[in-house]
Amino acid sequence: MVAVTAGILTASLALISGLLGYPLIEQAWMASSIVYAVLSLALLSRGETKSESPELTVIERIISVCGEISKGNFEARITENTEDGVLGDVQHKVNDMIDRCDAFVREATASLQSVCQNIYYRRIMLGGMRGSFHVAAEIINNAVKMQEQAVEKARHDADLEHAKVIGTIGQGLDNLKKGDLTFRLVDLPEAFAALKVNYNSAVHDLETALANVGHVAASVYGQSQEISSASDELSGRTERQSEMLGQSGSSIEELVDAVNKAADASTRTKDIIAAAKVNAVESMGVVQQSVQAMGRIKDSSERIGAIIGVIDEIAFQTNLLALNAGIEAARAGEAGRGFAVVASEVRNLAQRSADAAREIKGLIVQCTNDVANGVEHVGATGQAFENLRDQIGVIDGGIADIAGNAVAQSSTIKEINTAIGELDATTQQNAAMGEEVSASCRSLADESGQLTELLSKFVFRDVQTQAGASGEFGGFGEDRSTAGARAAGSAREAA
Amino acid sequence: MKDAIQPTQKEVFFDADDIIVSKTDLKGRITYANQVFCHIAGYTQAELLGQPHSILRHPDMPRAVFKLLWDTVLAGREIFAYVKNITKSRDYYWVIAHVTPSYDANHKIIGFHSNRRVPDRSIIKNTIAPLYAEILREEKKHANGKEELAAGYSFVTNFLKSKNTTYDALIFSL
Repeated sequence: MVAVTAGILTASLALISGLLGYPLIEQAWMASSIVYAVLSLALLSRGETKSESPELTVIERIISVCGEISKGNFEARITENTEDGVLGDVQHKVNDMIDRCDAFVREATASLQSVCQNIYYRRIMLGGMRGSFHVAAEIINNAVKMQEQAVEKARHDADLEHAKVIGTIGQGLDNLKKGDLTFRLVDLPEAFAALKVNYNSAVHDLETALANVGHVAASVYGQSQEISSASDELSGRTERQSEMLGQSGSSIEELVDAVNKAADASTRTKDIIAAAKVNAVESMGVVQQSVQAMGRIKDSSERIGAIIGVIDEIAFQTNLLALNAGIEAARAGEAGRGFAVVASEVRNLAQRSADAAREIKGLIVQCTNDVANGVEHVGATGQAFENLRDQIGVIDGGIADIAGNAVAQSSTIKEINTAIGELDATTQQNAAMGEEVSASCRSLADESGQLTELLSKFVFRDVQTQAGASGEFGGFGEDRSTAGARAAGSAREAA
Repeated sequence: MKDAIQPTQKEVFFDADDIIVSKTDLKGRITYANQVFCHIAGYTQAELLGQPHSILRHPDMPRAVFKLLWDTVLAGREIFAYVKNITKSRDYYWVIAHVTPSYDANHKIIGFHSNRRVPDRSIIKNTIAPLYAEILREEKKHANGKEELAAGYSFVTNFLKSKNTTYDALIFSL
């Protein structure tokens, strides 16, 4: 019985040795195996008689359970123990040993399994752990505790490092917040090399970008100023052009007035000319009648001349008769005296008649000449009237042409006026657009000024300065402030 | 049924160096009880084998604790629980029970194993007994077993939540 107990105890120890890797206990395991083998042989030699003795039954139970235990099956127990005394006790002791081994295995397994899951509070419960179990359990618990402390320390170190890293990154971000783009991350652990490079590269890019933006803003400002002044000039010119167009418009309107007046005048002139033409034609009739009257005067004059000749002839004859009567009276003396006086008187009368006739004849000749002259003149007058009529016709045509031209002119002038109106509207639009452009330019200038102002809140170096340092992200400390001030200064200058 | 049990106020003790060991099948029927167990509970091994483990259930124990215990071990995890057990003669004893699943060679759960040790008196007095009384009072407010259990269980859950801890961490922190 003692040997069996020893065997199982050693078997249990062997289990622990397996768990803890104690080579010393291996020897105990070997010893227990030998005891176990000897017991089995003894049993086999006695087993031939198939004894029903309780000792044998108990030994068989123990052997069976021990077989299971040595296979590592800690579920095995003796559960059929009804024996009293030593036989009962030995079975209880076997179970007790297995229970304690089982407890240790379960505890150790659970504790170490927890460690695998980073749980360190799960320690082996020391209650019921005796002797080597207790020692082993304490060692495991101590190992777990040390592991916990190591993990705790590692965590603490990592926390410290993280705090430091976060501090450094925080400083970087703080500088970024303040707009200082000359700051670079320098002191970071190797694990954060990628972060350092990425941050520095990003800030470098940002610095370059802002410097470029500064240049562009300054350039935009300058160009917008130029455009603004050009636009102002254009605006002024357009305004003058507009004024001139306005003046042209009123001139054209005056011209239209004049043309209209001319057209009216030509219309009135045409009426007058028509009246003149009628007058001329009427005058020509009068001249014709005058010519006829003259003709009749000539005829009458000629007949008067003829009558005057007759009278002259009569006066001559009378004179001759008077002469003869005087001679006869003279021959009649006294008696004829009175007669002689009458004869003399008759001869005087005849003389006077002849003189009058001659005078009339001269007058008639003169009259005829005058009439002929008059006819000639009247004819010329008639011709002149005809010419006048013809010329009036020509004038009439001319006037009609003038009137027609005036209308055409008026229409053309209207078209010109419309064109000028459109030109004026376009010019106005141009002027308005010019003002808009000016305003936009001013606004652009303002905004680029604001952009520059905004940029002045950042500290960055000029692109040229950066180009020299772009390969290395560290070591800017010494010239950071001056470069920053310079960049800010140039930004302000641009504004 | 629990009203039929009339517990005494007598507490019995076992040696701090001893372990009460029992094994059950998957349904909680006892398949093994060690000598310490038999001795303190007042049963013979033969009386215990095949009996449900609840034969030891003391009416002061909240149902929620056993639900938590069974849920945990059925999920394949170990659990530590302070348990007040009743003996055959209606006396009681406190244990800190460590229940683990037992596996076969294919790592299939074939039953459960319970090691019970002597608990810290002060923990029982100051923490566990008052807490269990509280849970039990909560459970007693409800008429049927199901509601009783749910109330107790939610009390435990809320208690753990209010302490911002897990059950295991709480037990080991005691």
